[in-house]
Order: sequence, then C-alpha cells, then structure tokens
Amino acid sequence: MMDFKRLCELLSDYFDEELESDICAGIEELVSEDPFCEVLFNTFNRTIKLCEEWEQEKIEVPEEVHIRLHRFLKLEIRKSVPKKK
Amino acid sequence: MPVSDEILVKRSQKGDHISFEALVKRYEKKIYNLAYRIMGNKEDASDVLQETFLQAFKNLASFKGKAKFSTWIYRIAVNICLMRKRKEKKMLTFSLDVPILTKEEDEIRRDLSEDWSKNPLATLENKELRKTLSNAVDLLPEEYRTVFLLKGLNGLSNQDVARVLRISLPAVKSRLHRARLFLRDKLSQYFREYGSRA
Repeated sequence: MMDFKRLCELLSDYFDEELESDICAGIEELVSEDPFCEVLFNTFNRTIKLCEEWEQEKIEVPEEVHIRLHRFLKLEIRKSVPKKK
Repeated sequence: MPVSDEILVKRSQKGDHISFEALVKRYEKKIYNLAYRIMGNKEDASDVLQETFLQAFKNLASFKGKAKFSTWIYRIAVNICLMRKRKEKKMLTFSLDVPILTKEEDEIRRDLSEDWSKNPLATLENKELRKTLSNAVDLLPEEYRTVFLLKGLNGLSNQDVARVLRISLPAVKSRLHRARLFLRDKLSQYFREYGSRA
C-alpha cells in the first residue's frame, strides 16, 4: 500500500525509471489524490531537473592548466624512458 | 571512429606515449570538472588533475583491464580529492547510521505548503537560485556529494558509481536519494524565504 512515507523512499527510483509498472501506478494514484504528495512529487522532479542542468554546465580547463599538465606529463614520460647508452 | 579506451590503454602499456596523451586529452575536462566540484576551487582542481594523470601513468602497467579505464581513472581522482580534503580537515565526520539528511515525515509535510515547481523563478537563469543550489551541493557531506557528482557530472550509471567508490549499489542509490531530498529541501527553503520577501 502506497503512503506518504513510502513515496518519500521511492521518488528517486521512480524518476530514474527503476520501478515496476504497478509501483509506478501506485505512486501516480497517490499523487493524484493527495495534494501533499503532489507537491513533493513535483518539487522533487523539478529538483532533479535543475540538478541535471547545473551538472551539465561544464567548466573549461583553463589554458594554462592544460599546458602545465601536458608539459608536466611529458617530463614524467621522458624521465621514465630508459636512457640509451 | 575514435579509438576505444581499451586500445589506447594497451598501446600506452606498450610504451606508446601518444596513446597515453590521447587518454589524457579525452579525460582531462571530465576529471577537472569533477575535481573542481569536489574541491571547490580551481587551484586544487588543477593540482588534482595533475596528480591523477601522474598516478595513472605510473600505475598503468598494473591496470589489468578488469574494470573500465574510466572507472579506474575516476577512482584515482576521487581518492586524491578525498585524501586532500581529509588532510585539510575539512571532512565532516558522520555515520551512515545517522540519517543526517533525512527528515521526519512530519517535517517534510510541513514544508509542502507551496508547489514551486512551476514558479518562473525555478530556473538556473535565476542567479539566486543557482547560488542556492550550488551552496546546497557544497553542504552535502562528502560521501553524498561524491555520489551525486559522479552520477550527474560524468553521466555514470549507479552501477558504475558503485564500482568507482567500491560501495554497494543500494548504498549508491540511498546516498543519491538522500542528497536529492536534501537539495529539494534547500530549494523549498529558498522559495519560502523568497515568498516572505516578495
């Protein structure tokens, strides 16, 4: 039986599409009947979408960091190569 | 068609440095973003980036290919981040048995007076909301934040996150869920405070 507490536990699985269809139907029924559940459901869904948007904003590696990294690795690689006699 | 990680790794292990460089180029932005979000600043992120690839280079010979290269490199990066955090004593200590991010049912119900999901301000174009979200992510305990970021930033599956962090799948799902509930709560708080100001 679906109730508010169970809904709180299952929301992530619901939005990650990891639940059986009968459980999803139970959630949807509860959400349509209980205004508290509807608010939780909608705001949780919006939170996930905002998080996804926020996480998709990629920061570029600053040019100087990129150059320093590759220079540093080249030196390390050179150090690792045995010298010819 | 791009050369697979697997082939690049094999070539690198045989001493082909150009292949290793290709792996670095493929992952540097992903690692930098992950490190930046965990460490919270560009200086540390750039140090973590360098250290990650140095460790990868030094340990590449021992990489057996049982896991994906991406899992392996993310694990190196996360471990470096967490070690640095611990060194700085910024690490919050908590037990997983203590549900610090979960509220009682009554508490959750109390803040369900407003459905802000369709509020026009519920967008990242709203700089205040963006800041609220970013600050809330910073407030997440490391264990939760790492799961949240690995999943979101790098698009890893829950199973891959579990492999990177060497924790169980239920632990990943539980941490991710608690993190999302916590963030929802912080966003609700923002709309309550905004409502009282308006």
